[in-house]
Amino acid sequence: MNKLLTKMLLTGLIVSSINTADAAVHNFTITGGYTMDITTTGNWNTTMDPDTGALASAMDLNFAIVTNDPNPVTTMGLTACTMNASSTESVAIKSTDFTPDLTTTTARIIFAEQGAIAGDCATDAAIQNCCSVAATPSENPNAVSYPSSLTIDNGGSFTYVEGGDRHFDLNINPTVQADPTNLHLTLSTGCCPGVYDCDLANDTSGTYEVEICLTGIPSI
Amino acid sequence: MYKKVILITLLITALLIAIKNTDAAEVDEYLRSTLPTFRTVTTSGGNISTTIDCDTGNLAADLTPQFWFATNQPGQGVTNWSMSATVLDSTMTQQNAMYGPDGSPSIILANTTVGERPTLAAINDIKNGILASNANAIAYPMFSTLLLGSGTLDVIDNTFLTPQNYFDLRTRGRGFRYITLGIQTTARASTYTSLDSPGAYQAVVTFQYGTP
Repeated sequence: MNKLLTKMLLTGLIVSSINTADAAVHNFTITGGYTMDITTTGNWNTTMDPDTGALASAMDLNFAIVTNDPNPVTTMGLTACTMNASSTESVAIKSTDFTPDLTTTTARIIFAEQGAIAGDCATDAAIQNCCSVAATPSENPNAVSYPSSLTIDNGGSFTYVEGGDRHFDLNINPTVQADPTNLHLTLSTGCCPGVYDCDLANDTSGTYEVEICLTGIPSI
Repeated sequence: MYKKVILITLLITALLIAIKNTDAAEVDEYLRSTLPTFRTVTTSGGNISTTIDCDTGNLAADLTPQFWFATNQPGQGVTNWSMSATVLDSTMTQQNAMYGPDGSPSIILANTTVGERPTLAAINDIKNGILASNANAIAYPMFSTLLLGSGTLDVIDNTFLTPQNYFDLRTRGRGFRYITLGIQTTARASTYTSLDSPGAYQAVVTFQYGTP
């Protein structure tokens, strides 16, 4: 009976532990028989203040990358995309710092409304308007952007690449092989200027979403 | 023949490994934020003060209280709004100031001077068309619909409801708009008499989400 109670308590603890944070683990076997484990943690869900567009809590996402590959992994990239009104993906990340091999930088991350109702989804033009420092609320209905900071540790670095598929090229080159290389994205709660105006009310209520993608993970 | 089969098998295996080695995987995570539905109303000026001609009871100018309102209602969803008005009677009880005789909506302004407020009977006499005794209450015609100003919100209904006696406004989707209640200058016949004491005559106009 005591055992059963203990098991029940443990189960309760585990469930509550899972519920306290968003987390996922991904395992890859990469070229040459090496392995790569990527654990994602962070705060992936929140609400927006309808008066200001501000997030109720700071969102963040950490990719903890562990590999036993002794060689630098240079195939990987980080980007963001969101579904637009044409049911295609729009690039939803924008930086202005092109300095190579950075360990910290800033970028805009754009969220778009994902409602099933026609007319409530953001157009690609609206999403791209949110990337601009000259963003105008009337030009970006159903899209809202937030400033973010991006950091990497353990000898890693990244370089921003502009173009149609804006992204960061990553260089995973662990100083301490056994330790994770943490690629950490943190969003500010306050939205970027010119992307939300409750007086215009052209950002419809609903779920706003952005997909953060770690690409080019070598695997067999 | 046997050697050929082995060679082909080896080649296919090598090719498959080569293809697999060029595969790249991806890890995706979604950040989600929920924006709740809001409905906002604020006053937005207009003419809310004038004088009464003591010979005729007429207003010197139209009264035009204006409001601004907005919602981010998704899709083609309908939002109900209403505009109503109240006056205080002699017992300091709020009474509906709007009424609609013969489909012609009107509003009562009531004297706010202490000791000179209209009785409930006086207010009801005006509403019921019994005009013998309506001291300290004067009625004015309103435009039959609310006056739509600039904005993006699609208005699909704009009606004065009787016997509820308020303006019912319905909008579709999201956006904002300015809206004005138009109160005309000429006092309704027999609602201004020598029984009306000097003082400030007032009604409180409310525009809101939902019904009064």
